[in-house]
Amino acid sequence: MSTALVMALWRQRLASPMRMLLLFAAFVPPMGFAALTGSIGAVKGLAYFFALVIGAGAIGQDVSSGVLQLTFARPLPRPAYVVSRWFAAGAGGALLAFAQLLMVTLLLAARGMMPGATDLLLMAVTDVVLAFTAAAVIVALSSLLGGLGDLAIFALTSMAVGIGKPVAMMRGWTYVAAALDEVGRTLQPAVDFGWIAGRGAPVWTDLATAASTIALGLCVAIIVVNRKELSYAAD
Amino acid sequence: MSAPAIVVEGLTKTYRGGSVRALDNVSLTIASGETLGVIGPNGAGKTTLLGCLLGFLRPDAGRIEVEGHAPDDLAVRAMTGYLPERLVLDRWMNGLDFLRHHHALAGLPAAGRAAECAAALERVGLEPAAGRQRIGRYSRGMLQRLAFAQALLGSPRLLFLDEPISGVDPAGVLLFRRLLAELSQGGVTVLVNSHQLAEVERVCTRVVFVQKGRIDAIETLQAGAEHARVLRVRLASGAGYAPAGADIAERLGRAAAGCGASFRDWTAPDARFAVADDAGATQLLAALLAAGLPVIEAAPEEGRLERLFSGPEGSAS
Repeated sequence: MSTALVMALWRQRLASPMRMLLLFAAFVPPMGFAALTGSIGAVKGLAYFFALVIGAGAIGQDVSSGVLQLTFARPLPRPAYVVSRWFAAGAGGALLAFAQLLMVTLLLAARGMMPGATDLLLMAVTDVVLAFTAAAVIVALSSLLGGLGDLAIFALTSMAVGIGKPVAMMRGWTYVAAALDEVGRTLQPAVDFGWIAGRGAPVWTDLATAASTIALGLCVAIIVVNRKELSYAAD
Repeated sequence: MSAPAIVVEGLTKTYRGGSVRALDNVSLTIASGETLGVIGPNGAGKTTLLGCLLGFLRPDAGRIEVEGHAPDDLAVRAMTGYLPERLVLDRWMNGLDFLRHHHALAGLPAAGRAAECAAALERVGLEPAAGRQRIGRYSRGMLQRLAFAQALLGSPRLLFLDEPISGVDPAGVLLFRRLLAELSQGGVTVLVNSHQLAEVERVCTRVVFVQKGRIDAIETLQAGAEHARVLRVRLASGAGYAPAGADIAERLGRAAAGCGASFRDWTAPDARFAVADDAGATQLLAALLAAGLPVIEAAPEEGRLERLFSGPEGSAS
């Protein structure tokens, strides 16, 4: 992994007004809602969104702009490039989620509604898993499509799952509903770490799904990037 | 000839499932420390050749060895500098950040990073203020210089320059010449892909002419030699205009010497002179007219590389 690439992605995102606006919209208003409701549940799962916003176009924009050619002229293994992009998106998403959780905690504490340490720990662990899963999904899509095509295909697939699954269930198309459910779980695994705090038994299938999404996403991205020919002569 | 830095044997590269043959059985050896120019018309296969040598493109057939390694070997990348033709640099960074980023990607020690990047910026004639400026605000010439500075980071042993002086002002061209001369003296192997034939002729020791995916010709040049432009001047030869026959060469020589040009030869009605540049040509013509010589036409003589282009197959576009 290259620290330079991780830092470069973060700095690039900070320099992008549109991304900063999206991150702000997902960062500040939910904090206010959490303060109003007195529950940290208002900021649950946002790590996934943060990672998506940071990771969108992580590879595709480099390919489209031509920056990738100069990057790969350096002694950098292509898998290291993919892993760096994934880590930057995942860690960025997780760090933002942690910061948000910390601020919500401080807000709630100030109002005398300090959340429990166990809940905070479970939320933090969930944020890490969600952020790195989202990063793997978006990096894989970004390796396949130029520019911000990854975000478009992610949105379309999510919409197809969101609309198609209930329709399929209503119509009694069991296999279609199961397939769409599987796609949905792969894109956005449902993880529950309550068992760490003794709340129920571990759901190993959920954990395996999250792990396999990360592994699959990284494998796809590494294979695609490894096979890429980097010269405008090839266009 | 010293040991080869790059060996290419039977290199073939096609696109679109083999329907476009960009390179066809190309073989080439580049000696260590050599400055090689690659010229040819658009679509001849120059960029594909460069892409294969840099390991960006996978050849269909043939072998490439760079310092004894495959071109995409990380050991090769660690000793290579590359200046791309399309300057799509990270436009959101400032110049110094960009150099630091590439310094880090090159795996160079962080300890000397700031000093080395500042020195690289200075080496290509960019002010420290330019280093603090966002790349998105750079002019084409500044971009070219910054990309050159990036290519020079870590003192590479191999340098691939794709259109290095495209869009560069005259001062930049002079700087490019000086840098290339320094690199050549330092034993760096340089490959220059360019359409600027006069510059290629001036800085390269050898030039390959690529045409329709094949190497059509290889010319050996004398890099660093005086590459004065040759100006062909025609004198009026009609009645009443003909200059005095016997002393014409002497008069031409005197007029040329008076303005820093040098007289080459006289074959009536044409005289040939060597001039340093456009200004020298203007001064020469003024001197000839002042000497009462009936100049009716003057034109630069084409260089060796231009003749390659204007040959029966040449069709530079």
